[in-house]
Amino acid sequence: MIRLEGVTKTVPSGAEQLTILDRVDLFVPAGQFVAVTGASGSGKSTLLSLVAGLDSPTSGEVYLAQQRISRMREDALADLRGAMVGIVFQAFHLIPSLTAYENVVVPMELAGQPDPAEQARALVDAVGLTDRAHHYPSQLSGGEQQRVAIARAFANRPSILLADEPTGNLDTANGAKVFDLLVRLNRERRTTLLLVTHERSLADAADRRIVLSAGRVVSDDAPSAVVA
Amino acid sequence: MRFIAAMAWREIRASWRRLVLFFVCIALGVGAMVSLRSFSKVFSRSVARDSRMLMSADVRVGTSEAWGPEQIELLSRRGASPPVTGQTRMLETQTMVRALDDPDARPMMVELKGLEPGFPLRGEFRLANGLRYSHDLLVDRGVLVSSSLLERLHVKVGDRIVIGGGQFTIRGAIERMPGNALNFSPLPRVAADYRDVEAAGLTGFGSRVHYNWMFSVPDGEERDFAESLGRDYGGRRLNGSIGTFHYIENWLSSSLANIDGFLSLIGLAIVVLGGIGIASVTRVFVDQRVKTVAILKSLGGRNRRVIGAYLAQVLVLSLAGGVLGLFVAQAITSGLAGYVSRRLPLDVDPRLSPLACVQGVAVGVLIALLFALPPLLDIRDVKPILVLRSDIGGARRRVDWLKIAAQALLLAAIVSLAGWWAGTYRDAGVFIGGLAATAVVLQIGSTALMRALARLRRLPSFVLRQGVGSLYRPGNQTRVTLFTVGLGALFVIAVRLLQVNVQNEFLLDLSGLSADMFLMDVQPDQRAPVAAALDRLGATSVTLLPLARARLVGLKRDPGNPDRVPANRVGGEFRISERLQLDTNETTVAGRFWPPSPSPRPEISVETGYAGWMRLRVGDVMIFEIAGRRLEAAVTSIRKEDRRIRSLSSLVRADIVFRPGPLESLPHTFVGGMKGPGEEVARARLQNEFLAQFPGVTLVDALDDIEEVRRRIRDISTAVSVLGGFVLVCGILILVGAVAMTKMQRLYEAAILKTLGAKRRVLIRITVIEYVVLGLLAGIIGSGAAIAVTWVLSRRGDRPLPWHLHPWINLTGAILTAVVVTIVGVLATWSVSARKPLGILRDT
Repeated sequence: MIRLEGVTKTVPSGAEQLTILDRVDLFVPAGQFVAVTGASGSGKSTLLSLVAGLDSPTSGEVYLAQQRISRMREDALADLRGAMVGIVFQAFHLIPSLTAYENVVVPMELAGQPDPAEQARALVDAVGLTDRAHHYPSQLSGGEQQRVAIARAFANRPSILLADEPTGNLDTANGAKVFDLLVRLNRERRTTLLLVTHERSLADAADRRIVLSAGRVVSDDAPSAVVA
Repeated sequence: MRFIAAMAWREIRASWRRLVLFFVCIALGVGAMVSLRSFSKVFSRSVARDSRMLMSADVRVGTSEAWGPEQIELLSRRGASPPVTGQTRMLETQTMVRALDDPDARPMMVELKGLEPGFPLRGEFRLANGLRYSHDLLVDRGVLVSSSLLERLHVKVGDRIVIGGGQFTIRGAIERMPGNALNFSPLPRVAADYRDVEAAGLTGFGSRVHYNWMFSVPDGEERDFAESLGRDYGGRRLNGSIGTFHYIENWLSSSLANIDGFLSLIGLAIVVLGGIGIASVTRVFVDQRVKTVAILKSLGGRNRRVIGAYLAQVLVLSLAGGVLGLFVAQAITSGLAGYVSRRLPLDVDPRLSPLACVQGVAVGVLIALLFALPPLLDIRDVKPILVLRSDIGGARRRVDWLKIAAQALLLAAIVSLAGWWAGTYRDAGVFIGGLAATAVVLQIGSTALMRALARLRRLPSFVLRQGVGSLYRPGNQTRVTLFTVGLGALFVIAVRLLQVNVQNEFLLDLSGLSADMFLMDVQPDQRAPVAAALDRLGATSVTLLPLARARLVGLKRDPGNPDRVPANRVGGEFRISERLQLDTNETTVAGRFWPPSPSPRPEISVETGYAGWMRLRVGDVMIFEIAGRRLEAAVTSIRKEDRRIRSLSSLVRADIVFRPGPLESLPHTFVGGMKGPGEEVARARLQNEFLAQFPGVTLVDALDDIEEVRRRIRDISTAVSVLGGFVLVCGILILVGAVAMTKMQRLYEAAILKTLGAKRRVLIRITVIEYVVLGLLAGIIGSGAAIAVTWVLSRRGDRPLPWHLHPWINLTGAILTAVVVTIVGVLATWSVSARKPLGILRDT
């Protein structure tokens, strides 16, 4: 489902190039729940951004569902994300001028779904925000905002869900609720989940744990057959 | 499409308050365009409908000579037979009127009409207080007068006034009088009986009377009838002009077509200003929406759809602005229609032209979209990775061909619209060039001032440093505000400068004039008694010049002059005079003006305008017929006259001046100039006593005349200032909009300053300094540009306008601009200093 082949990402840092990911090879089959952990600056979020097609690798290739996305044009990547990728960010990234319901309906409108209203309402109900559907992000708590973000991520029934520290901005109680919701929806909808987190307890819930350090995969508890 | 429409609607809902002011600019521009364009159309329509009333007839025969027996026989006969359904005569002249019983009331120049029964053949003669017009009101020396005359002469209905040699009783006040044709003269109207006017001695030789014989005919027969009358006149070699009411209609239509384009361009300029504001705010808007755009892209949004959503937002708001502009247009058109209806016997319908409405709104929307497009294209450079890493900026393209194409499209659209509005691409080029040159001047000025001001940021005063530093705040739109407010200030200050310069010239002329009172219609036998009476009444420097009428019947070219003109230019009647020397406002451009001595050999000096029309050169001989006698006169000089200066020669209005001698033996009258007493009461007594002794003579006080000119200049200045005010309002709106756009940043900065110990008073002082500096900069730039623009304008044409520097106008303009900008700026940011810091910092 997700395949990375020799992916390297460098960024300029002063006069030199800083390597964030260093020749990473990875394969994630459909339906697997993978947790990516590591210290700050280990390259977790960069890995996720490359899988999401939000950024392109300096070298190597990224494949999603057999499609090589590392050389795709921006609009084609947008179409791909709209069709098969859902993303949950640590900072929620809801559009402040839209209500909770509208934030959920936007991806469906972008994808040209014929009747997005009903599905958006169902998603808002599913994340327990029926009464808060017409509130703006500034009127919601952090936990509620992240639940809206999760509903939005599932809007187009993505086959891949990417979550970048989804509980990082939340207190323990809210973080636990949001994580449970994320996992429950993931299981119900049988999506492939790539979760970036630095919390051991969350990573333990995954089918597979990958540890990054200085841009390299230093640990992967997957069956050896699927580790490159 | 669903996403674009839905997203546009949501964004409008969230941000319309911050954007609305920019679209009010579009409303003002569309309002100006539609009203000016509509008005010319509805005015033309009203003229087409009511042009019979303007003439008060269908066909009119006019002449400046009294009716001869042959004309009376012909016109009476034609008037009594088909297709004519009615006929009447009217004579018109300008003369002096005075109150009989008040020697201290200053006599007034009026437009006098002598009417016969049957008037008006077309239209309605409206009187005040519900009085119905009937010719019976005029019998036994009755007159109807404009209300303004009653006020100025301090008389009322029932009082008596003196016109020429007759005493008349006022029987009513005129509200609207048909038959004024295209006469916009503000002189009061007086209507009297035709024969009473003749009996008052106002129609003798040399008087400036115009005689009209008017006919009504069935609809559609006016042209045939006028043509057949023309044939009769031609066959008998009679003089006179024959016209139908269509002449008035055509003349007005063509005149309006000329100014229509110009006025529309002013409206377009306002829309373009609004467009500049929109481009500026869109740029800031895109900067503030970078995160939203990145989120949309991470959710699957393509560039085209995201840009489409924001373009749709501009479309809706500009459409709303355009519709709002139609209300503005309706208000302006109603005002214009009311003004014209008071000046002309026309009921101008103030309805907007549907075509002009559609065109205006379409132009407003087009300009808004085109100005918004280039900054919206920056959305393409927003990378979706920004949702994860805010330190990554969008990579700008080295050469952005799409943006260049959008900008080229914008320029092409403005040029095309200007050409379409103006009717000619030459005028459009002048318009675009003028706008571009002004923009460059303002930009250079603002850049230089901003650089100079940057030094102030190192001053030890915290408040001053912060206030000036605010001008450099990212997204503050300081340059755009400077440009738009500066342009508004330029308009208003430039108009004021031109007005004062022109008005001052009349002041200067007056002090330098050898005469401040003028005489007309003095008969030869009155010459000595008039001079003696004026001397007795305290007038000095009395000068009298002869004035005669001559018909040009031939032209002999000097052998050295190969120029020729069409034969029909040789003819017509001329006012001719004689003088020993040039007047102070004249210069010789060819040949030599004669020495100050009479000569028996006829010599003439010709004014440049007429000499150019006839292609005359020194040495050509003109052949005149004066009272049946032929007179050949050689052109010995060609002179240029500055007609803006009111002198005795300009009063004579004689293009052809003879060397003194030949006119002595020909029929002529005299016109004169003199210096009257300085005091107003003494001037009034001189006029009253003089007119009592010489009722047929017209005595004009040049002070009244000059005051009238000044009033007209004020009227025109006010009209242009109103348009300039539109531009200034646009600038102020853009300023308020700019403040609204940066409000969040201001709130954040204010909150931080408060947490660091700044009191509210300090924040207000910082804001005041920011806007005082901004307003002063805009005022200085506008003032400086106004000096340049007025100087350039005063140099245009072959008769340059006077131009002097008036520093107090520039200074006052700059200070007033600063005051307005400061008040608006402080009011717009008032809430910033009032907010509690904790809530702001938590939300940010």
